[in-house]
Amino acid sequence: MGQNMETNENQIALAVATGEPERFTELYDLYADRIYRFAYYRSRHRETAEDLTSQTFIKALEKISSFNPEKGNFGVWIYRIARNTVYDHFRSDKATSELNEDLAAPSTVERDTENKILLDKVETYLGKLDPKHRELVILRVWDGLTFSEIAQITGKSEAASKMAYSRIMARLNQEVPALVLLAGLAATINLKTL
Amino acid sequence: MNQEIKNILEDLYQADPTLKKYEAQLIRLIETLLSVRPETQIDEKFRLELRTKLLQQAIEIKQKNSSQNQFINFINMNRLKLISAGFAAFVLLVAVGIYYSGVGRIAQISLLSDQQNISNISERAFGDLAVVTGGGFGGGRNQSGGGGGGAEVSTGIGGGGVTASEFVPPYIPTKYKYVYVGDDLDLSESEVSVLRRLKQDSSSRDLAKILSRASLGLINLGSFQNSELQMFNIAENKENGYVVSVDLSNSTISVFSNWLKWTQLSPLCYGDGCPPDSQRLTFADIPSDETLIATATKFLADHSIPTANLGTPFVDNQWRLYAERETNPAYQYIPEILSVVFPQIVDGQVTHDEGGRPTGVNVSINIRRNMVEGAWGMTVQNYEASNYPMIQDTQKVLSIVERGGLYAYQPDFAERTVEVEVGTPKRELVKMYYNPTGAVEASEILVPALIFPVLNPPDELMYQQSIVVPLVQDIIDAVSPGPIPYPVDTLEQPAIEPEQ
Repeated sequence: MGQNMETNENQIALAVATGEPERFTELYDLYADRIYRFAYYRSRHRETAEDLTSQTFIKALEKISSFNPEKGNFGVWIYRIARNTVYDHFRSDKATSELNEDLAAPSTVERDTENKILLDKVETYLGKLDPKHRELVILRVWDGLTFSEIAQITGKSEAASKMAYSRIMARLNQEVPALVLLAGLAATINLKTL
Repeated sequence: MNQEIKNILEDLYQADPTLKKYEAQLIRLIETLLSVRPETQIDEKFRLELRTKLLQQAIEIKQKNSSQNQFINFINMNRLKLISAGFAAFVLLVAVGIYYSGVGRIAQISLLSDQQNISNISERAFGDLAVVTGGGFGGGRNQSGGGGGGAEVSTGIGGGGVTASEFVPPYIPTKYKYVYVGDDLDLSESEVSVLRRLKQDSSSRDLAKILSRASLGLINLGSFQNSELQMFNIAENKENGYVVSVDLSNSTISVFSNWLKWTQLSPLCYGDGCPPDSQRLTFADIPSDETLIATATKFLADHSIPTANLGTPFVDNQWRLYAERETNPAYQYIPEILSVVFPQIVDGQVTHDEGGRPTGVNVSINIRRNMVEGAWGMTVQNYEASNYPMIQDTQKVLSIVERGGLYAYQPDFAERTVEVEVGTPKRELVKMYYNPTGAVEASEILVPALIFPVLNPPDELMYQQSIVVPLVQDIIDAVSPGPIPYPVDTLEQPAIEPEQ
């Protein structure tokens, strides 16, 4: 999230909060894709991800008057809502979430069989990580968020987040040589599918 | 090594420089993690429908907030007041600083003008356009995988009876077969010109430079290296005044009402539980489109907002799609604010959003006040133009049309199939966004595209009035070649209840 864009987003959010709620669609246009992917990475289920995306934006619109740019930019604020929404979803309906997990891998259309095998192996490993550490890796590598943003979203300090991340990566690097081998396999598969 | 990986490595080394000795392994590790990131793209129909719902809800909230949340509005308005006051004081102090420090006289600086500059640059100068996002900013990625076969049908969200309180309607598998009934397509050109808007022009840079060199007495702005003024607001201190927001970084200007100076109107109420003395609008309260357009046009003229590159204005009447379907007058929601859209004309063509709707300068009018409440979308019109290979495969273009657009999905089974006719397209520009390699900030590009009108949209597809097919080969090549089927086992599961 570039600084110029953040300033503009904050300005729009303030306009939404102070009498122009219809301008919320401008913020939606900026974040719909990203929030959807955020939800999808965690649910691996298209309909659930759409549901969570809807809830996130509805909540954001309803709570926009509580947005304060002095406490953080709009992007961080909406990611925080998305994160809480995802947590609430899995907390409130554990059975459904387990069902979703079962559904997700075999039904996701974007994966071909070989990629699914690779993905399942890596997911198996990431699944052994502490949930907080797994989240940190996903926020940085998959969601592409900066540590400043991650710190604001998770409520941790930026330095602590970076340190934890470096330790996780060092651990991954040491403990999972097979993962590195899989990188070669992934490259081969990608070449095959081109 | 791409920029994304470089950034991740830099973060790691900052936290623990000793990791650098494992760089080769780390790169492979990060590549692996990135390679297994699930590839997904938001469904365009879902995106558009949620957008429409949010717009509807936003307008409803506006009605409710005007009475119930006056206190909250008061707090927010004071926040705005402080911000506006802060900017005003800042600009004033800077101006004083410039005067006394003798930095130089400010010549007339004009951000908006009737001028439109388009500079031709080399071919494919913006890089690979396969990375354009599917709506909105952000690093959208290409679809991968997907099935093969003919692209004959696509799907939307079926069923009706959706109430405002429902977030996500249930998916009822319905196939939509888009049938092209228009004239033969002419795809004989080998190249098309893609335009990229330059966000900063020399005027905004000059203004930012002058202001950032000033000394404020309390602090010397010049002591901050490469500092620049990015945005400022100017508020009218009068009844029914406006706030002008100038974004120098993006070269855009917006105008919105200074709510501190606007009187509150009594709230509107819709539904069965309204107090007897409450008010609601009816269709009879809506001024004619001609009146609304005249009001908006006068506002632009009164404030010397350039219109030379704006097309024929129209009233955004999407709200009618919902209101006119509601048979109970008590629930017929009539918005208090209506928008007039002045489409941006660039290089003689109308710009559209990715849904195929003309886009440009928006002027919002409060019909109870009979006043303009704001205007936005005013941008500096400086562009670079670069040629890209044009898609010449008619069948490929039509296959995208027949499946309902770039990101349409297909169910493997359906209760019914609905044929939707699509007519002869017009060729216009579509505003898209992409992240050039290594760039964090998205760039705005205008891509020549065919916009196919949907001739007989069924009720559940009422918001889809067009199908857009960009004419750039890169973009088409990045789209999955075949229809994207719904996962069958997903459809067989019961809908997940949204959390309320």
